[in-house]
Amino acid sequence: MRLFERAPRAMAVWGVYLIALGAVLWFVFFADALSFALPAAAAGITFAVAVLSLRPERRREELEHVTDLSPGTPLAALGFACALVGLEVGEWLVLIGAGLLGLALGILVVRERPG
Amino acid sequence: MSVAAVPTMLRRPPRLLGIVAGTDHKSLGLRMFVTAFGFFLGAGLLALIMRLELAAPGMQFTSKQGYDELFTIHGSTMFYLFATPAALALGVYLVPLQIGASSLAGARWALGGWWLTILGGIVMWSGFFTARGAADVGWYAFDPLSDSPHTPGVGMDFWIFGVILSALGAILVAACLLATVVRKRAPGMTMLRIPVFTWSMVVTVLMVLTAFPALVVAMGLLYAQRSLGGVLKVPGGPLTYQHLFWFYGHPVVYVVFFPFLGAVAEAIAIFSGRRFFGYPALVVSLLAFAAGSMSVWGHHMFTTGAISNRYFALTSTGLLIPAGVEYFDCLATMWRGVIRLRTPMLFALGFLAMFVIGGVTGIWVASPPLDYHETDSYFVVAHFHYTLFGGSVMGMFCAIYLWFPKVTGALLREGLGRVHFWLTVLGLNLTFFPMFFLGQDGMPRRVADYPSSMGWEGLNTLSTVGSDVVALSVLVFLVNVAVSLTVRRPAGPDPWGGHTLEWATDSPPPPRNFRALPPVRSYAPLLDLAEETPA
Repeated sequence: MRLFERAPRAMAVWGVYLIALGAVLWFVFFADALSFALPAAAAGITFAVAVLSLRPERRREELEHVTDLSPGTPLAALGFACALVGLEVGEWLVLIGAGLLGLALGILVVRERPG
Repeated sequence: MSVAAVPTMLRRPPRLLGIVAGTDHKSLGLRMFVTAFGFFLGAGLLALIMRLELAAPGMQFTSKQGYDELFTIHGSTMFYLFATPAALALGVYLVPLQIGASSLAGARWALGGWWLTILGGIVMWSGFFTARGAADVGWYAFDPLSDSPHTPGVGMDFWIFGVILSALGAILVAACLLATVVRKRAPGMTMLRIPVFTWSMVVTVLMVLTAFPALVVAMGLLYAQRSLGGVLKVPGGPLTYQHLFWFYGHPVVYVVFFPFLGAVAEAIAIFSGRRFFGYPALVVSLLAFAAGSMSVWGHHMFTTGAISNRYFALTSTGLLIPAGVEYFDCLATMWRGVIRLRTPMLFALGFLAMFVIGGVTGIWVASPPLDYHETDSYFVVAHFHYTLFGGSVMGMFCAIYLWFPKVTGALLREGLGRVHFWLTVLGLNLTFFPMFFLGQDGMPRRVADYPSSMGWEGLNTLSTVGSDVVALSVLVFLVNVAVSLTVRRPAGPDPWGGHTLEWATDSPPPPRNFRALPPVRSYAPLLDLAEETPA
């Protein structure tokens, strides 16, 4: 059980298990490459997250900084959605979406930057 | 009791702006949950119309095209806009509290995730207002059925965008939850001391982060196919789409199961007055269950004849082992406990009883010879509704009754809760049990009508009556919420005798969650304290 005491190790074990199941599918049951690639990619994401979580913690004060309000975030989501739907509706909506996204990113960077 | 001071409280933001842009995890979790529940009501309404249509042979209320749109948006809403966001919302509210954190890591990303989900829902449902109607190809939208020649119209494209937005939203929220567990645990809260519910969220978000990207890729390919052509028209193209879709499509069943299993486990421990039995075995079984459930996607493709049926039958059946461990742990927790049959416990027991029907029939359809017989029949509809309604929805109501006092500071009415529970059990079984027999008798799913000569009318009428009972049960629940919030019965910090840290703070918790934290020496710190205190 000590294997699961730390989050990165628990994730790594999980990733290995995914790969093992995929390998059995590929080597023992002779499935196509995609059937192995899917769990392998999932394991890859898991390993990446595990490695990221190994990074040393930042200073506590920095971690504790929380912006209670973030008007830029819903604006960014709206901009992204407009740009996406604009692919079907028309270029004008893509442009509006891009504008909103730019504005939102500006707000997020200038007004809501942690620190 | 106090060992760790907590930073100064922050002021609450203005109400409207707080709803739109507030990043406090409790407010955000609540908003996410209410939004998801709104989509649940919408999708339920669509289901009621479908059941009315099927109550008798002949077309009564909709057209065949309209019926196809109804079941597509019903299924899509339930998975993409209700069950997944509701499961994650529970985590957003509860995980920081359970691990003794003052906030959610990357709360702005989570806020963005919530907004992407809402916008995805709006875009998906707006298909109803387009010239050719909403998407009508099922919640999986297989190619070539979903390509431009077979499904023209912008409603289908809106559906694709809606799915992409909601999937990205879920990924963002999941990343924040995982980061919170990894980075923000209180002193003493090691990974093997985090509560059962939080472990269930850890495996859930791992699955979201690793399986949902496949859905985004599948939707991207589908949109490219529809707008550019040729993308999926290569040899094996439609099968590639199915692989990608089901690599998301099966794990998502567990994404909307594990958090509610975690809630049920917490309820069982609390209302049995005992420490949860077999915590280490549960942790290992959750991880094994999650990995296993990412290796069974091919059982949705048995009838294509293009996959290894033996492997996927083996892995699908193998899920019985971790599921059995979890059931055993829940039952062993109750063994010799002092059981209090309050509403959350009733829903927890209902979850165990109903989900087992879905689980056992899952083993049935995990067998290729039986699956060949049952595929695309009402048997499958019955099976997955026992897992999703009998499991996820029962578990969700267990979670609501358990944590409502923590979230609102008020207790829900016990009498109305019991009525709600029994109506849910009655309605659920009346609606879905007849479908097993309809499926065995050969009634195909996704049909708006059936010949009167088939003799299916009686069971279909029974099923429709059941769906009305389910609707009534939801109405009773909404009345309960309204009454309990209007004429409040104060809950206090810990109305149930909880075991985990969320019960150590006010109800509702203050902006930074805790004024002081108790020492953490196990996954049930408050139970440790109670056991240390002389009677």
